[in-house]
Amino acid sequence: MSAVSEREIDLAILRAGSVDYLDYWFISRLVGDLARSPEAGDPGTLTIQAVGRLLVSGQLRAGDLEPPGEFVAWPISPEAAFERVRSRVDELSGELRVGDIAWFEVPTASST
Amino acid sequence: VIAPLRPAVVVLLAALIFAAPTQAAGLPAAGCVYQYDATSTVAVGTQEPPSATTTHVVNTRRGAFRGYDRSLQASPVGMRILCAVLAAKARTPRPFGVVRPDQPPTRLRPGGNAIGRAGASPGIRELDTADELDEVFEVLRVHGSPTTSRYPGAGFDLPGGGFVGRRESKRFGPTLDINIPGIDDIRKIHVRGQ
Repeated sequence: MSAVSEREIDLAILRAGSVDYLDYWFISRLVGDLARSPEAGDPGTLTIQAVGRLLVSGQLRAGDLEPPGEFVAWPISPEAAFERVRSRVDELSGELRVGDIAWFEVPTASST
Repeated sequence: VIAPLRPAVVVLLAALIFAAPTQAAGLPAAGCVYQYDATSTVAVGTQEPPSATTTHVVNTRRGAFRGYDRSLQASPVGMRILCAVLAAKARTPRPFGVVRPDQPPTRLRPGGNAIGRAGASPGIRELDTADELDEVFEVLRVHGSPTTSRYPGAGFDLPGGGFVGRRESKRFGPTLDINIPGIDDIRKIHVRGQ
């Protein structure tokens, strides 16, 4: 299997995000599934790159998921959101767990 | 004719009868989960490690989690008999899940196949109803303890390093988040059409 393309990764994330809010753990696993071959690259690097691309392009929003199930986007620019995500990933100690780092939403016309 | 006994009474009687902490080598650590009525589920299973003889009996009320937990001492033989007693009184004709602490929860793979239907993305499965989703959650969390992680819902850390959580979503409906070692193809469960 050849290296997975950025477009493939982005589309997989957006498809999953069309039916649920996504946390960083889920995205990392999704990317890991796509990047199983050695040529695909490091899944961790591919994950943060994909999140960065999608955040900055406005196709993904970062925020928190608050009970009973409302997504609250961070009131900061996409670039700042990406920096926050990257910083949290860098600071993560131990295994990535469900709900760690951030939650993400694929914006709809009504949510933008 | 004996009037239908409430699950708690059945469990208590069975516990008294079979509360003999004996070793029965060679029998697998396993358990059973039965649905009694629309709101009650009774689960029986050993705790980890599989050789332990403590049997957990959990009666849960779906949705509100107002159930109670009871632990008792029972041999693997006693546990099997207890499961048989439960089977005789349960609403379901056979266990809808089998708890095996030494293996991934078989409830996620009834008949060997991933539960429900494939969802919109790999790792996402769909069930028909929220009741079914809640029942799966109850089965999976039986051996769990409330998570220490920041999770926007009811999250449980499972023996062996796994996690299962149930959360509500205003936009997408109820969802289970699942991170169980060895089960890489089931990470979320949704209700179809929500």
